Amino acid sequence: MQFVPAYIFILFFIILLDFTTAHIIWRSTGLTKRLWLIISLSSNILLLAVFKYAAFLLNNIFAFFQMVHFTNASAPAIDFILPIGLSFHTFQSMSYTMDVYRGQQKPETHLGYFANYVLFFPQMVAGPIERYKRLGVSLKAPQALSFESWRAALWLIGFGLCIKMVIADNLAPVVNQIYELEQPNIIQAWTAVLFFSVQIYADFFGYSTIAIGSAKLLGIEIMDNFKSPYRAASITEFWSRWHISLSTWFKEYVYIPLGGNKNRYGPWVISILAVFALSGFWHGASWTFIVWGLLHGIARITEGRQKPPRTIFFKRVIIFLIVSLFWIFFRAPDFKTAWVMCKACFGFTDNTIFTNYNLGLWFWFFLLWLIEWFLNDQRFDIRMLQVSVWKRWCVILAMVYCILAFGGTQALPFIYFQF
Amino acid sequence: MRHVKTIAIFFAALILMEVLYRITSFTSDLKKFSPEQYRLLHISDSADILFFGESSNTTFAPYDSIPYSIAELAAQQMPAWRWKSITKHASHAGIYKQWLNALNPKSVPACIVITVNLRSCNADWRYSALEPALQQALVMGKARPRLLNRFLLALGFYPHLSERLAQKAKLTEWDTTCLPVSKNYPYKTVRAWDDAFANGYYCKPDGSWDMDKIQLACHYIKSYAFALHAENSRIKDLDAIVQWAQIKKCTLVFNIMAENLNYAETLVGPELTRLMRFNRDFIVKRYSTKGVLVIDHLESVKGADYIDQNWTTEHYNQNGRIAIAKKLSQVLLKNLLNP
Repeated sequence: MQFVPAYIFILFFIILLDFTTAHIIWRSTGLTKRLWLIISLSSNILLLAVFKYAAFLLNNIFAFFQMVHFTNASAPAIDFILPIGLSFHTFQSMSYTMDVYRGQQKPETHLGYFANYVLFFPQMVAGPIERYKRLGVSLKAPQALSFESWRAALWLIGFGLCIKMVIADNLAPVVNQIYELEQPNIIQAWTAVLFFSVQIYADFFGYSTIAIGSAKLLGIEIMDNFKSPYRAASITEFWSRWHISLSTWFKEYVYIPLGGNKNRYGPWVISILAVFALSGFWHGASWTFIVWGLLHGIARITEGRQKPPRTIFFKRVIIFLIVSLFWIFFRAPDFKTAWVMCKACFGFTDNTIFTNYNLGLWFWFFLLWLIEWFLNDQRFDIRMLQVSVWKRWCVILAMVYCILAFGGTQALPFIYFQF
Repeated sequence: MRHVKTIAIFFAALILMEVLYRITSFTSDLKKFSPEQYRLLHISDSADILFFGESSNTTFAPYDSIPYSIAELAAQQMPAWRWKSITKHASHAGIYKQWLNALNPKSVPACIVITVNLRSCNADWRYSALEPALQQALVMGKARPRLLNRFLLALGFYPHLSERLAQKAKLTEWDTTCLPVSKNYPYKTVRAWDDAFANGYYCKPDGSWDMDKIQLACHYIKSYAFALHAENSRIKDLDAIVQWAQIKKCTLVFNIMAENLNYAETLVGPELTRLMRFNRDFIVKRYSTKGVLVIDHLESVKGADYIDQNWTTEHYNQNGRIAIAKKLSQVLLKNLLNP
């Protein structure tokens, strides 16, 4: 993942393609309409396939050929650099074309507005993946900037910075260190698993909050991407709270077209597994991501189609632990590492040497829960308006002090930048 | 008016935060992120001679029976003087310059010995991948509000090039800088010189390339094929150190470290050793006239006394360290007034 100036033409291509095909789709009917949708979607997917999945696909095809003794040749080396944010802006652009196809969205007549929708800088690199019906309207509406909206924007940016720099960046070095061990012990494994759960949440939630705040500075509202996901009492609820823009994207454009909840049990199971496997594959061109997605899919299937029972604390803890264990496949660079970590979590390890990690780091782990308790399922800027002025000042000053005095010192990019 | 009041409260709070940080976390952060500067804050009161060095000072051969660094060996020769040394691997004049600023201004030692490593002036070291870490370790000691330093440390706000840019700058320098070699010598740039040696300059009796020898020769070329000039960033740093010493009125010593000229000559030829001597002479001439005691050890250590026989380093066994320490202490005893 890297910013390569020439790759800006990929974005221009996506913009021109989807802008044009949306107009054609709008004016066409029947098979022609469907054909143009397929052209638009397949072009977007082809771009993703070339830049993100080509090496993975070729390696697997050649591995399969070798397995059936069809050839002994190995896959040609492909070293395309993944354009930064490609997975996000192709999905954003595809949602527009599909909305136009469904008649839910009129095609935009002004190329500039559409280009701004795809290129809107606060969320271009790592989401949230917006829909045109929200962001497009917001971009066109006259922006009334006020002190209140600026203040809220600065609160959000500060809050996002705080959880990224202070929580995610302080936990990341320990997680990285443990994942590099050949044989972690049970304490190390659980430390890494729990810390990574908090790290990835603080990292991505931090980024999304900064994006929302940055857009708000310009007077533009973009959707929330998180809603206290670790308070979920079921996997179903977790996915309605985690990376909301992506999970709703898959729900609207993949799950429902596949039949959704109306399916009989068999096709429903298949559609759930397909959606979660695709979701995993969207994150990265690796089998570990697919397994991560499938694990969530299986867990989701076991919950059935009924709404989960009333939330109880114990259930939340169980779901947090399950999700944390699933993250192993997301974080591990390969199956070997993931397997070692899984085994270590359940005590199957020869390493019994206790390593004394700085216990102070657990403070950052628990700080996230303190923040969750403070947020009480609300967005930070909204919550801040609900508390007294004194409390608000205390929160702001504590946040500023944490950013200034306790930021992690390793240069760590946002995790979701790699997708 | 309400907003002015809010901003004023915020700034007052920032000042209080700075005070709180100094009281609670600054010392531990300085110790953690800039241990050398932390030591400097505390040792300058108790030192007459302060020695700044890199790995050459504290690297020992496994077979050494005398486990003392160059600074310790020199100190043993001058018992009347209180010696302190700060050593950090891969450091150079640019780092020492910053360390000097971290000294307690009220108690500057009488004499400061700066290790001058010729290789540290080459493009490979100046654009080294180790540089960001060295620069990072200096942030906490900068003369700015402490809390701001801590914040800038977290933001990665210190001078450093990305790996790609550093590599590009290094290769450009190797490609384009003309070396002052003899007129008839065919290789005028590091790139041309390196290419010539890399393409089978040394062969084994069976006709295959002697890769070990080729690699070492190429490494010598990249390490020493350069000519110092006033615009070299290390020379600028040494100039700044001289200026600092003149203001503080302390004796400054530049201790030019020994390099393996025997191997350089055998492997690459006399053109390379001529460049090495040219660089040594440049430093001696430039700084002797500025009141600096320049001690030249360039050819003081025999080839066999280098610990790394298959690489270019300034790591000496005990014979090498003793030779350097002896010469250093002799010059200091001759030139320094009694403590």
